[in-house]
Amino acid sequence: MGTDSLSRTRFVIRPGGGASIADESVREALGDLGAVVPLEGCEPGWLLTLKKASEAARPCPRVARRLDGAVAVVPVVEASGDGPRYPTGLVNVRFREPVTDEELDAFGRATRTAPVARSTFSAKQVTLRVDAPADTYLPDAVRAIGRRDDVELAWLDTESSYTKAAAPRTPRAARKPPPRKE
Amino acid sequence: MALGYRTANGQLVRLKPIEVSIATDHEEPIVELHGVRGAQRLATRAVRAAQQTFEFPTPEAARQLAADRGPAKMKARLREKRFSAFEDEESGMLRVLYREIVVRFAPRVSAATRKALVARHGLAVRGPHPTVPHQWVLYDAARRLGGIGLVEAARSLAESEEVLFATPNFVSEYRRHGVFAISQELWHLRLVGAGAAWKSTRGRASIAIAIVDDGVDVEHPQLRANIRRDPDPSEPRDRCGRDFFLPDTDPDHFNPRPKVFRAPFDETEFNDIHGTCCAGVAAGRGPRAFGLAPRCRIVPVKIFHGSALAADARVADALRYSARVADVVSCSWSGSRTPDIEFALRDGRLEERKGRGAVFVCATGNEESNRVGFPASDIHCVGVGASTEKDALAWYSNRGKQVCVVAPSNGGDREIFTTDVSTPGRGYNLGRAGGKDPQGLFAVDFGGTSSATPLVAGLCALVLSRRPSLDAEAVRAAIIAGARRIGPKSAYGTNGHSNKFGYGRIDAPATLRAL
Repeated sequence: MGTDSLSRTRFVIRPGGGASIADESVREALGDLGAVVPLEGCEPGWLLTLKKASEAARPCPRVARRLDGAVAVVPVVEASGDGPRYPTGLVNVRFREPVTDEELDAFGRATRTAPVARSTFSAKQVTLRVDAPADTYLPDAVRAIGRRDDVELAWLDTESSYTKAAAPRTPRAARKPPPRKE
Repeated sequence: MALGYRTANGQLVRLKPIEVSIATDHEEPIVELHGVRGAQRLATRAVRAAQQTFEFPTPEAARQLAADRGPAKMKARLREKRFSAFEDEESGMLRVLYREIVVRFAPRVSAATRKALVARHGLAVRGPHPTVPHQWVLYDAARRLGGIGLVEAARSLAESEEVLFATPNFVSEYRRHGVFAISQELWHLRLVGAGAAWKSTRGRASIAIAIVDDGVDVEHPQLRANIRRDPDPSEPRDRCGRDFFLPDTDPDHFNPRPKVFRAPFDETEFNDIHGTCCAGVAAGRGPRAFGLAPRCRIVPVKIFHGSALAADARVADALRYSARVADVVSCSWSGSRTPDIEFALRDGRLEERKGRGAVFVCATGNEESNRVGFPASDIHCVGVGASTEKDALAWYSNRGKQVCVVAPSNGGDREIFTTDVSTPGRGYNLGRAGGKDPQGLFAVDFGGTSSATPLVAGLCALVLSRRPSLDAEAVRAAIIAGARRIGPKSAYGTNGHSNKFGYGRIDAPATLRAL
């Protein structure tokens, strides 16, 4: 479903499990790595844009260790042709069949995850949090979960920007210069 | 064979039986209609109609019966006096039936033949019509037939050569219609033939359009009556839609009204002013801002708060919810393709409406590009582009193979008139003195594929009002079948599709005729 790639320069910082982190402490801890700006969305978080592309393929745990507490550091998802998507630090899983609470517990033990919420409208879907977000490269965890036989698909839970398709305020005639008279 | 009867000109009127039960509560007769919306109100009206027309026991008489004979005998008596209720499949209106059939014989048929025919159907003659010759009222004297039996007896009688027509003698629900004059400012409705389409249907209250957007002003005077109340019977807190930007643990989750306003207050990006306009285009009730389906219902589903990022999982949940509580889902926005939203579209299209699927109608986008936005590009959606009042392509409308149809919007010389956020000083129309609408209740310059999309959603709702049992694919096929080719012939391929215009510009009466 789609061709997504993960950014090598932009990462989302998310406090995990209800923890809160002061804006200043994030900026202090990560400011020398690049620009840090808060994300305005449903969930608290910051966007870290590295000064130069990370040489390490998986720099997230290294970045996370700079911040005390349970934080997830996850690369921004850059979908081809679409705008960026900002991971929330959680994982969505769609099982092949609806799962019971017992099955979900067993699933959590096997994948080192804990359920955050079941989807209200789809009995097959669950949102999970990994047990050790600071030490986990979340895309790897998603791939591992997605390979299980009982899972139809696993993906990073994300926030993104949507465009309301309202009337363009600038008429075409005003945007394009009139043809030049020779 | 469908249950129904034929009118004098041979048209079949289809009827759906409504289960009626009669119980007693503290010696009061309680009549219930099952499986219909607004059942309590309809039941009250049905009882009143039956009482007035068929001498169905009045509450006083029922109480007397109870006093004289006890509840058991009263229930038996009520059952004996039972009436039947049906829903007219075309109009959705209630029709109550109790024991009578109206029949008109051919003039040459003798009295003896008439009586024999009546007796053969197990009926008796109540009497001749006082002013219409050859027309009699028959009734089920033995109370053997019941409602469905009476409908079938009427149809059987109508098939006799001696009979011109025979119909059950219904007490029918009628609705008083206001003036449905389409003003010049609603040029987009005129262009798609709304006036002609409304002679067939203005929409049924049982058909709902979910407006998935930045909220809908549910108190707007020309939307309020069309807001679906209690859309989700399994969730008592859900009174008029939801706000999925907020988690369902948030007290404001069940409030789908616009919430975020930031100066400048008429800018789409920073303000929740977009969904109210879309709702008006789809199902504004009038009398000034009509939507294309002015008697269908609106379910407001909020997913945006100003310009803030939206959680993709909540957008997906909003689509799932919409497909569950509405028949048509209107999405005047685009975003990134995500697995969750793809699953939500698939689930809604394949599973909801008892497997018939909700119809997702989505804007192709205004980027003037050769790429259709998501979710309009998804296989489960009807992608909608924009055309102008001159039936040209709106300059901004995206092009691509996923454009299904186009609908009139701005981009030429005219713009779209629709409902606007009614809060003073908020909305596209800030209520400037001397303007077209100094109160600011109406947007006078709406447009984009945002406006074209709810117009098509309204047409889908009209289609379902006429044929509620159609599945989502059949609705899409009807929209395509009725579309009128606009633009140069060369724009269309051999399969009849154009990357600019899709299968053409929507045409409401042609679409309804194609059903």
